[in-house]
Amino acid sequence: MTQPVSPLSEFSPPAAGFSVSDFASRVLGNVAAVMVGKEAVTRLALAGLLAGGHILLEDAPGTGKTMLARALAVSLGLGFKRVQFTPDLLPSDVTGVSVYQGGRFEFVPGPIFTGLLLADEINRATPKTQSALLEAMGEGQVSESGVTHRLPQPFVVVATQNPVEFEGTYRLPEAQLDRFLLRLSVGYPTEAQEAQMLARLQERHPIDTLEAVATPAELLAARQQVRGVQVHPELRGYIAALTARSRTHPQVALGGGPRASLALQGVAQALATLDGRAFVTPGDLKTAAPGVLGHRLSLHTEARLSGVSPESVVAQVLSEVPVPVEVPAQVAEATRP
Amino acid sequence: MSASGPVPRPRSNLRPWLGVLLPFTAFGLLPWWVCLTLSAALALGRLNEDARSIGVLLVLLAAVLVSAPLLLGRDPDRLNASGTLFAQAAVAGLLSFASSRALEGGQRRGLLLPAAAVLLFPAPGGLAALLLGGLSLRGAETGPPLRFQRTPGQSRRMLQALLGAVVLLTGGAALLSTVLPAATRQAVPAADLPRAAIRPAATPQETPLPTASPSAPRPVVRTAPTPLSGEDQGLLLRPLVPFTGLLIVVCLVLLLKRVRMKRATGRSTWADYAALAAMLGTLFMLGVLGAGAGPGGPLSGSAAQAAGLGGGEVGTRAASVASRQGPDWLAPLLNAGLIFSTLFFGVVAVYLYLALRNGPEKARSGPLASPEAADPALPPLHRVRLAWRRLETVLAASGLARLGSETPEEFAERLSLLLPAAAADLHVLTQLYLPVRYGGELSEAQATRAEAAEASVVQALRAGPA
Repeated sequence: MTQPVSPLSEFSPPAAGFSVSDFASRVLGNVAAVMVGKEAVTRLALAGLLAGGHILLEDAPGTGKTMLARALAVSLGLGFKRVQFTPDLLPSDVTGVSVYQGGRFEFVPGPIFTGLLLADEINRATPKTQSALLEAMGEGQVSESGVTHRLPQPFVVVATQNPVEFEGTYRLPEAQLDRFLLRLSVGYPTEAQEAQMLARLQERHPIDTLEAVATPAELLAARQQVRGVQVHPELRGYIAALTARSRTHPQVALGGGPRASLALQGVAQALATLDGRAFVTPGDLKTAAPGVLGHRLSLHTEARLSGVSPESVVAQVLSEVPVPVEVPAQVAEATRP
Repeated sequence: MSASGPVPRPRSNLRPWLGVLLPFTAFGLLPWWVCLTLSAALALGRLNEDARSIGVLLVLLAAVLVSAPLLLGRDPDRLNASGTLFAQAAVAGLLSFASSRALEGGQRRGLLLPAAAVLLFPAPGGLAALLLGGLSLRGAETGPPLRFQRTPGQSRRMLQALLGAVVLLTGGAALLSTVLPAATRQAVPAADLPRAAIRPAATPQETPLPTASPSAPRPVVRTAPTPLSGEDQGLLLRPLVPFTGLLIVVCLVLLLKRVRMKRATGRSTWADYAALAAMLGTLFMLGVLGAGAGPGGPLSGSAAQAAGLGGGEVGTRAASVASRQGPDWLAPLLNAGLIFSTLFFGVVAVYLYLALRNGPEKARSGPLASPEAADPALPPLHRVRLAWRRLETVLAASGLARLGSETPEEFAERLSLLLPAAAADLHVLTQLYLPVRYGGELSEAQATRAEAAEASVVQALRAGPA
């Protein structure tokens, strides 16, 4: 039995002349008021949301991971809930629980029933709680006591984790990592950006006054348009070649699967949309590849111990696989009367 | 009212060049031609990155040569004779490189190491080099880092001039040195000799000078060579060794440029890599040979030449040992091999230079060899693709081919750095090409614009890349 909790109809549809470029520039401009000098990562995060995926933010504490998630949620008009993952967190603390009331069990939705769920320090929770997110992230629903509850749409999980501290953490399993469309790193600001941030935050935090500049319905409409972005057949071959090379790379034990190829195509389509293009270029795929493939690669122990990172493997894959540009025979064929 | 500010004066290339003379601070320790080679390596490193790699190769080679005698033999005399010069050269090269980098950044500490070298091994040349190094620093602490200001084509001309000057100087000096020993066979007063020539103890070929006071220490002066004998066949090696070495270095520079060009066009370069390895091997052998043929080396017929080459006491001791070594046929054989090597590498250098000069020049000045000429009757979509294709063909012929894994945007960005004058046209062409190649429609006007951009880029290429 399926019980819709937050149907699509509660959002008003976007205006007739809705443009994704305009939508994107509004959201990016709004987030830039909070995140100083983080345009690139914000753009990739928005591309991930437009591609309908979930995002894993991995970086040192204090780099603005939570702020980015909050700013995106506020700007997009999404409901926002934050769950601090700890070792004693139970799956029902996230998904919800059935309570016996008035002679029958009633489902009390957990914090997962929101537009954007911030799973803070996700690797501190036990694998059991982590896997409670699997169904929600993959299927957009929660099953409890034999009843399936649909999650509101759009539904996005933005999880954060610290790449430095490993004590008292549970590494996310490959299956869980694969559910995240992108893994992004916010990175430290430059000295000038940090000084600018200090000046901006001196009196009050901009997030307190940040207002929504888009609606969830616009996000859903933008997702529809993103799927219509043209991908040249040769670029599909290029995507497949990149993913296949990530599997056959000598330092990789487990490479990207078909889901990685789908993710690569989706993020590239979203990036093209953000640029106002109706077609994907190889540059979009190269921009998307590190975030899409990086967390999906499992390296051999020897490679890991010798300091090889998944990002360096992705960079090597990108430098090895030929980009479909011009082939003389193709041109001759194309120009033949 | 004119609002124009003071016109900035064009920066001179003189001061950066002065820092190149730093290896001469080791003049009291090293022979002049080693200092000259190190200076040339430093200057090459400042001219382009390929040459910087060559400079590193030279230092590595010197390091290998230092360790080689350890493997070849344990005789301390032979070890010293072949290894000392290269150990000194390697250390002087590394210190000069570090000092030069510091001076480039306007840091005074760049003068500390040369000053120490001059203090330990005082020589007029070293003092002059230190003075010029100090001049190169003057005013640089508050200014921008000392780098050569280059315009397109200037780098190549400077490189050619530098190599030509080095080859001419060394060749001339080598020729002179074959004549001078015969003309200057006379005793030299101790005061006129370099410090390295003065020894506290006599050797079989050293003659004590008469002194004014019996109680004063008796300085020992090495005499000039005796007339040439059958044992002096090794004399010919001495001027030819550095000359052949320089020829090999020139070949290395040219071959590295060739490898770079071939890599850019995506062609196999294994044969070039093999040639590079062979040249390095030859240079290595030449180094060992040069050390042996130098003063005091086992191939030298006269240890007296040590005074002119800075071989020092070690060289003298080695000579005494070496005079008892080496079969009679070895020196003539090595002489013949060396003459052959000099001729061979001379021919190779000329061939590589002409091949490099003719390849890109033909592509730049010749007509577009592509049969895919511009045709206004074609649909705009095809015209843009053909324009891109033509451009790739011309650029590949000039050694600027697109790498297989490069996207059109990345290729255009890289080209823009090499051809700044064509950056705007490259951007236009790329932006028009992308929709054509990966999905989209174009108008006639856009196709014409793409063809015009392509023509502008080719014109900028012919004007000469940076």
